[in-house]
Amino acid sequence: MKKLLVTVRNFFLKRNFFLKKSLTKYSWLEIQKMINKLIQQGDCSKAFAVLFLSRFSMKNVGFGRIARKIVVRAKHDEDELCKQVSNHYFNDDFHDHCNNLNEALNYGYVCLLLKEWEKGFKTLSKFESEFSNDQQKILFLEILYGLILDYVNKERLDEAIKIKMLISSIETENIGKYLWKMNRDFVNQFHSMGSDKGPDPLMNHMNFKDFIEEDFGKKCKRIDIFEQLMALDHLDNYRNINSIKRKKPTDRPLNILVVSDNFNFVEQPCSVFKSFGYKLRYIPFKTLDSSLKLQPDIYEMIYGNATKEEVFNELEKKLPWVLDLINWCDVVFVEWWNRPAIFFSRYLDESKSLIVRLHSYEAFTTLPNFTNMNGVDAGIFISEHIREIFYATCIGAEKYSRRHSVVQNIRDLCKVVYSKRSSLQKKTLCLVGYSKINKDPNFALDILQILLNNNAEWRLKLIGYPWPIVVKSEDFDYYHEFKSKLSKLSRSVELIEFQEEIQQSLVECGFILSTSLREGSHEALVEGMSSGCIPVLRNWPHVSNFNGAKKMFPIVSPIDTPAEAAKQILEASKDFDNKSKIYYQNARKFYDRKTSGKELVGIIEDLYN
Amino acid sequence: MTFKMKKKPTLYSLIATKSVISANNGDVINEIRNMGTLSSVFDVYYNNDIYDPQKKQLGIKDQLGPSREYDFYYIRNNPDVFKSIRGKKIIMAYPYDEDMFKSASAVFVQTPNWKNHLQKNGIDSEEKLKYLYKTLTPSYEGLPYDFKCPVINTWQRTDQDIVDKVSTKKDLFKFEAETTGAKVFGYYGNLSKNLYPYMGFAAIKNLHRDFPEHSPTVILAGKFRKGGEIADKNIIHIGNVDYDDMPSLIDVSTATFTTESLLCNTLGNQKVLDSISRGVPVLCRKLDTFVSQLGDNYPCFYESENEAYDLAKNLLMDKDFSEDVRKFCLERSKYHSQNEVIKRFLDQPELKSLLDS
Repeated sequence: MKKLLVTVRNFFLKRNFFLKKSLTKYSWLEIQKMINKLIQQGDCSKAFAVLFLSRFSMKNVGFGRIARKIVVRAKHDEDELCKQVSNHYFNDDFHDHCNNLNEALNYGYVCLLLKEWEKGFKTLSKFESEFSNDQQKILFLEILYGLILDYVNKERLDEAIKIKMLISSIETENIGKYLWKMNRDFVNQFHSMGSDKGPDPLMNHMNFKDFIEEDFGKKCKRIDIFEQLMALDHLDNYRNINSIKRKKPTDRPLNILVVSDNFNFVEQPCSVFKSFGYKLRYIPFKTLDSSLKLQPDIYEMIYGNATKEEVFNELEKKLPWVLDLINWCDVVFVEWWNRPAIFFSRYLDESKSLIVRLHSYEAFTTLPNFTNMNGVDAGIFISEHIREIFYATCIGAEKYSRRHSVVQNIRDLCKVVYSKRSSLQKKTLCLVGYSKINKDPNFALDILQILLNNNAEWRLKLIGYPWPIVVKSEDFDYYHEFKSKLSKLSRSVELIEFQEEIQQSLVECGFILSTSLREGSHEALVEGMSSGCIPVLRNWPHVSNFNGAKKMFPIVSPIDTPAEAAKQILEASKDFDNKSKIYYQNARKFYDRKTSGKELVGIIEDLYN
Repeated sequence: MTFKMKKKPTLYSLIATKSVISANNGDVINEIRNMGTLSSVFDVYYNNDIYDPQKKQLGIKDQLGPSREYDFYYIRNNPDVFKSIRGKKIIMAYPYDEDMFKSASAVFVQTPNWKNHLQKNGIDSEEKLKYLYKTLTPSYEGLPYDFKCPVINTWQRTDQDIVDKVSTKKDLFKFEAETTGAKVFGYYGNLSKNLYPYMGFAAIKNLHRDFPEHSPTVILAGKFRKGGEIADKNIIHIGNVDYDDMPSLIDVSTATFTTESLLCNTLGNQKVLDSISRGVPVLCRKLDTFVSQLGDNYPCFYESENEAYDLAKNLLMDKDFSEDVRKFCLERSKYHSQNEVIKRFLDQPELKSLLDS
């Protein structure tokens, strides 16, 4: 065995020897071409071997930049290549005492690759005055950007602030791009509690739980760091509505501009607005990402420091119709608290009002933290617990709570006629949406299993889009558990394709399930109740600290386990017709647009009182 | 004239270098519909994959060219593959390639006027063909002097999926919002500066100026071609719209526009058929193709900016006029249904002579 290993090692040594010898014949330009070809062919290890063996002849020129390029292109073995770079570069005869800009830049690229922020910063800062092009400045910016996040992690606030000032002082065309990346990652880190958990870490159940349950003192300290670094107070300069009084137009209807990235849930609010005589126009916000490349781009407008003047000049040039609609309106109503909400909180003229409606997921994302809260006239939340979560995740939002209200989603529930269930329908459970972990269909299958243990007539309808053909790796285990449970219960489970109008399916079921980990308002449960289904409501664990399920549905008793659910179902079955009718009536009473529509319009009218 | 055949001949079909196609741009959509018509006579294979209207994608990815022998080969815009094939070869008569024209067994066109010009029947045929072919083939000076091969009109037809699609309330709201709630005059498809209906756009601009309360607006859907970007207060680009969503976008339109380019004295135009099949008027310049598609007495032809203005204004404000045009469009679209088109396609002696050859 030992002999074999020696032979293998000798083989590689020999191979490298010959490779090195043969490389001496080539110019640096030719070697570069060879490396590029190897990268294109996907042979990154060989590309790296060529680079490493030819480094002496090239006198260090290009090594770092190309090493980084190879690692960035490597699809599977980035870590191994990084290790190789680290071993060769830091332990070999390359060193960090660079004698000129070129050497420093190459060293900088290696530092960027290996996340050696401080080493990179120290070396490059000596040559900062010699930077002559954007590429060099961008390398320096990337190093600084890594370093500042590192300092924030280590709670070295003073140094972080110094680096931030340095970043702001660098003049390059692309500075906005780095500023927005940096700002976005600050918030990600705040939500990740200092570690790197990727974008929007609170969308993950465990991260959210940790975040909410974190020690208050620690959280305050991080908020303090965050506020000093982000300095979002300056957003007041864009739009400050504190002392603004507006007059409602008397000679024409109120003009409302509805803005959204998607218009999926806004149809009902719009129909309420129209019925109150308001005039509506719309901006699909995605058009700002259009092929007419904006400069500053949308990221700089939202995360960065693009000024109002820059933004409006660009709109005038490239999207004059957007400007025209903004000028036309009295009120901007933004659906979803995401990009358009931030945009208008900064750039909308103070003479116009801004209302933002938040549904659910946005409260778990980083985006709302970039809102100029003082620029929002009214914030609308579709449920109380989502508002509370918003205050926990969005720094500085609670200060403006007097401008915020909870208004139920606008629903037209009165169109469904009550129909009495057959005995089989009374033993039919229904879950709408089952191809996401958040909906937790396994919980529903567990309920069914318990019920079937007593009576073989129980059935479960799973309505919605099926799981994708390629399941995400993080969902893999859950999906296989689902498949395994489903195969055991397949005789009692019916999978029904997604339907635009699900009422017909719902009136054929006895119980509507809400087994999700997290919900804002769970529209399917409301629709089920309004169709005469008896609700089975899980105490949504992701938001249980906020009593989400109970607050959203005070007329329903939430359960925590499948066993509790099964017990509740069997109990309700004893008096099914009566209970079904009560829920049918209560759904109309509490969740129909009659009440919520008036509340919504009330918020608009209040802007002028 | 009808054909009774025990077994249909096979036809290999290929568009340019597209080994695989799906309904995502005008030319391809056009060809997919064309295959539907051709399949009344042939067993059609798109790049070795049997044509089936239900398939979302046609063709074999890693092949380009026939992998076996077929009875006929229909090659559009790929001279290399065309030259490499031995057998009965058919071409689409656009763009122009002299060698392909010389050696083709038949030439497909999609309008009767185009066929007429290739058969040199019109007094202005030469001029119109020059206009058509010179743009992409500057060396074009005329058809080969001995050009006599059969010219077969495959026609264009409405797509039954577009005709049948029911727009839900939700669909209509979505597109009302996507088009900003304006009164929509849509231009959907190839957003190229050479094809824009400039007289039509100018008419809507003036209409917007005169009647801002009605917010007449040009909505562009599709991808800007290089240099085709335009920006104005009443011109809005909404990006690409899925083929399946097009009926709903057309439904929220007061009217649609189509190109004013003289190319449409010969070339076909699918946009017109899509629009009329939903009962939505098309404002169009009186060009030969549109006359053949809509009939000579279609009420929304214009020849000038002023005429376009008056028509757009009437469609915007005169409900009776608008309703009459809607009815006219729906009636006329029957002429372009698959069954009608197949009847006309089969009723061509040139097709018979090709099949008998």
